[in-house]
Amino acid sequence: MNKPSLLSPTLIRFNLWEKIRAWRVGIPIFLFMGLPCYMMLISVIDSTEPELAAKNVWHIYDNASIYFLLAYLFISDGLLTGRPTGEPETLNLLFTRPITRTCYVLSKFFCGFIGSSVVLLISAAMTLGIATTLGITENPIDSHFILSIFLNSLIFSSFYVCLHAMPSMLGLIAYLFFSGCQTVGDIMSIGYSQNAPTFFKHVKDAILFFNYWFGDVFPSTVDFSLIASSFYACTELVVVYLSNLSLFLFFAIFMLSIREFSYGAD
Amino acid sequence: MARTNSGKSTLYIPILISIAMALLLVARIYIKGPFQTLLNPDSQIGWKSISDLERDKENYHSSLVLFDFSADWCQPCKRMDKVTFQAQDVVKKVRESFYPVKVIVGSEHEKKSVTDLQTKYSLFSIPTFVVTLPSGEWVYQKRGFFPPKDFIKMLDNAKLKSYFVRAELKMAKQDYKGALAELNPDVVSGKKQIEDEIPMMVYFHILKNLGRLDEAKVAVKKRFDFVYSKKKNAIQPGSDKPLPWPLPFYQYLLGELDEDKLMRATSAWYQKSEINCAIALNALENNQKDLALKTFHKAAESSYYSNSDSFRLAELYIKELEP
Repeated sequence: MNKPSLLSPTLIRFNLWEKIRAWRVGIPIFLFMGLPCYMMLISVIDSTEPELAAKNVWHIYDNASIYFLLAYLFISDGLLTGRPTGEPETLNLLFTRPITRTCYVLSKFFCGFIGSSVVLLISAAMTLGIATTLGITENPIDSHFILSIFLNSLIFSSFYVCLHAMPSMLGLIAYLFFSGCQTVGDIMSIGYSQNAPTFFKHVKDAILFFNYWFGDVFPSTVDFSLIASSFYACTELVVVYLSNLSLFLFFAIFMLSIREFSYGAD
Repeated sequence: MARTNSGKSTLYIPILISIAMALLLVARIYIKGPFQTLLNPDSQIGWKSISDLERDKENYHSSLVLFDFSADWCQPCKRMDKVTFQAQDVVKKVRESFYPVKVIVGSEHEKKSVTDLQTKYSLFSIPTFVVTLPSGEWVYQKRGFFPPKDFIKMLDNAKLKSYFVRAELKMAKQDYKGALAELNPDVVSGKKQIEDEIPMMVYFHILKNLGRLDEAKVAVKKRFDFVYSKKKNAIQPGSDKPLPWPLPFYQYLLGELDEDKLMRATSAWYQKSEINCAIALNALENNQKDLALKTFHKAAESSYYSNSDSFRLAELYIKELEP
């Protein structure tokens, strides 16, 4: 008996295998994989405090940009086709086949999640090898570290798949709006003059309103050990994480359902 | 209806995602809105206000003061309250060795005192954690969100550093025996290596003034050798260039480098400040008080941030030396 297909094997094979074989995507992915190893090597060799230097290198795996760029490499077709900012070509092609929008979104999401996780896990294993060879005994790799990589890959893949499903201009605006809402919080923490005129105080309140309600839509990396240490204290963090995940997947499917595609472009 | 090539519907997936999204969105709005106070219980740390600090001044001689500069609108501050300050290890550590003071930036309450503290500790972002001696001398400062483990490490570092600050206070008054007694016993016994330049210089001058120059040189040489072993790959064989920082600083303490060469060894402003402190202390020991005062002024001026080890040391001596 045939079962409903949630994931498309063709898409998965294309995004996880064919892309890596193509130099345009394969080379950046291997560079990402090797970057922490290289950082570990140069930081530890030229340091008076190698343990501290090594600890700083491990922070690469908390970096949101790494997850975002890996999700881009595994989800977007732009780099492969040489049109990084244009409409994805395979999208048009795929809608000539009997595949649902949900299947398309979930397959892309799955590829982003698996691709990013595997690249970062291999990279972490290589970095651990280098660190151990250099005599570093204190390394952070444990179940919490691995779970954090999975959680971050999940949320950034869902975020990127949502942007990918939107028309490119709308995706860019959404990206800028939400990253702006997040960044204004940091800017406000630098300028906190108490003697500003009333008008500026009202502007500050408006900015802080956006920062409070929309600032956490743009995903930031989560640390599983923090959640494990105090789940009750992290309730908000967990709810925001799950809410973002479902929100991104919902919007990805929704945007794809209402979009019109030009088949003539193929 | 959306159908796959097998003829089965997958429409239940977007429906499930929509339901989950709606429920989680409602939960999110409630948690960030009306339920926020329920999820943010009071910390057991027992934060005090600035007026409490003024009132209790006489009773906390042995503690360090921990200022938490926070604000109502600051998200990382709220996360500190919800996560880090709820952790039992953090609560225990703070209650054991610190007098915790919460400073709410931007509130009308204690506005004047808050502004004074902001100016005194050169605050330019929040959350910032400042550790001081009860007498107000700056010891340590960090800003940003810290998970419990890192926050405890920060408190330990602050505590270790406070030994040197107490020793500096006595050294500036030329009470070298008292200064040595203030140091961490592990440092004095050689069990623990001094890692920073200014604390190493303070230790060196305390021993030197107590007539234990050989012992002082051994401690500096030990640190020099350790740093050299780590940096030797960065040194070109036969090069005329100065050794990488902080090796020239230790060479100067050991008497192997003159002042001009030390000055040329670096161009970084914060290292210039350390160099000026070292030159001023030497001048002071050679009874050149005017030169020492002038050089301490230079050290204070070349500290971009007023919160640094060299700035604190320079300010201490300026206070002592100025007529």
